[in-house]
Amino acid sequence: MIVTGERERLRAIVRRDVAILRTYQLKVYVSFAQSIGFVVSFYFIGRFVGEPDALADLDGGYFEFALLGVIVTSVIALALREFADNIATEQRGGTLEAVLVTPTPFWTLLVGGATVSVLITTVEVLLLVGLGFGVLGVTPSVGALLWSVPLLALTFVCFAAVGIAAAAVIVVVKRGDPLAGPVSQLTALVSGAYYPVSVLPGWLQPVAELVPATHGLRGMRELTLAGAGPGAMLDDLVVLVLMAAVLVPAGLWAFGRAVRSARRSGTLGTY
Amino acid sequence: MLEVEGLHHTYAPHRGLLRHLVRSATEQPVAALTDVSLTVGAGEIVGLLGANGAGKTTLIKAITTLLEPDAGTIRLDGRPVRADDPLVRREIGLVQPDDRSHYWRLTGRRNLEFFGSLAGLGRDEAARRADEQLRRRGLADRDKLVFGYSSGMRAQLALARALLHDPRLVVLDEPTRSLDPVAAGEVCDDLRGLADEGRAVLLASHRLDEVTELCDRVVLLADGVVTWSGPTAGLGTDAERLRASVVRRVAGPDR
Repeated sequence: MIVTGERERLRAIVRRDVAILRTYQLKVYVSFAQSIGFVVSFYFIGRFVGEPDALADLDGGYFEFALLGVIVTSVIALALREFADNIATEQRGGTLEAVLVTPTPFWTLLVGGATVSVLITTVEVLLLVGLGFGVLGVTPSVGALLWSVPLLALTFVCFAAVGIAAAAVIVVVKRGDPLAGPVSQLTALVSGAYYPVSVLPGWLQPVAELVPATHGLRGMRELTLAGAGPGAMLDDLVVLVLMAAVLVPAGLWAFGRAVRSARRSGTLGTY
Repeated sequence: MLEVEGLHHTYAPHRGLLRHLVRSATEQPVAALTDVSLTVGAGEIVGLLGANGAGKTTLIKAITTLLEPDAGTIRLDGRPVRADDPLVRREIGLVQPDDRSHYWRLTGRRNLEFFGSLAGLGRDEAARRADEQLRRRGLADRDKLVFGYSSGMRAQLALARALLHDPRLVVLDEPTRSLDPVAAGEVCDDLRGLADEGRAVLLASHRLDEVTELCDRVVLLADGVVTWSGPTAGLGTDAERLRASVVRRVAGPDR
């Protein structure tokens, strides 16, 4: 029987990645251990720094502030690198052409290929939230955490669009992704992941408003640390929706162009 | 069934900024295919012979949608073969010469089940056909991770994968390269069987004996140009004369 939907293909890609991951289990444990170690380091930095004046409006101290930065940064790192890494892995492994001969749309490969990593990162985020807020810091309400989910998801989607554009570059140039690194650095610099945007020079603060993570972080901190209701994050949510509406089509367009270019040059599977 | 008409493709070096960022395989444009036309009918095996660099793999990539040619048409049962048409791609099975085309960290069975699902089979059907192919290819009792397979086993797995979804067109790029003579003979018997079932089979090979024994017609390529095509019998029957005839026709103008 031939099935026409993409659901079975997505499931098959997930089953493939789980099976492959089971042959590299240590990688997952090491990643979790690194994240926990990172958070614990921020816990001690928070104890050292105390409660800075710049964070006077927020509940908790520097640790709770930075914890959200760590979580959002890890989600951004996944979004920026996952798609390009998957394409590069298939190219280097020699499997990309075999996959592309099948009637599988590219978007299925992109989404399916990222699914297992997204699930692992979700577990990692839950672990960090539990450890950070539940054990080491101030506990926000369950409602605040739940309202944070769409902000985090939209932040992921915006950066995933950039990640897909990065994958487009890899399809053509094979190595040397020029997007993920600079975007990641710019985001860490201006989005307020580890310090408030207000400490940036005045001319740099408008740049922060152009970075999706700034809005995701601001909204999440309003909810979880300032005790504000969902209405307080509405502006940031709308901005993220608009950014996603621009970035996602742009990323997919770039990817489509890159695949076409590689098909014309016969270099889809080369690396 | 398969109709290729007036296919042209030139590998061109990157232009503009890309030229400085990525090194192309070639510094000058290389005409890989020039006005290539061929047909493969239902129930027919057509052999593709040519020296290294003659354009066989480029032609196969174009037929299997991995390469978009500069000009020309490819049709399968009258339907244009295009990368954005999943219905036509579903009817194509490809055996690649590269034995890295499998997931080495998966078992052979899991590889087949995965590719079966991508080809559009339901999970149970993919598992059933994977099991059938593994038994048919002598891999059923050696279901280990593919990195533990020999080259011959990987070649058998590639053939199993190409046939898993019951394609109408089977394209094979040197399928017996890594096989011992007995296994190669069995594959040839299988290909005959596929053609007898009404499938179109396009076989690229360097093995003259294989092509002449198995194929109904032969297409000779040299420097991207079809230098001869016709019934296999037209190449002659005497082994020495046959070899000389083919070598002359695939040598190309610069050889």
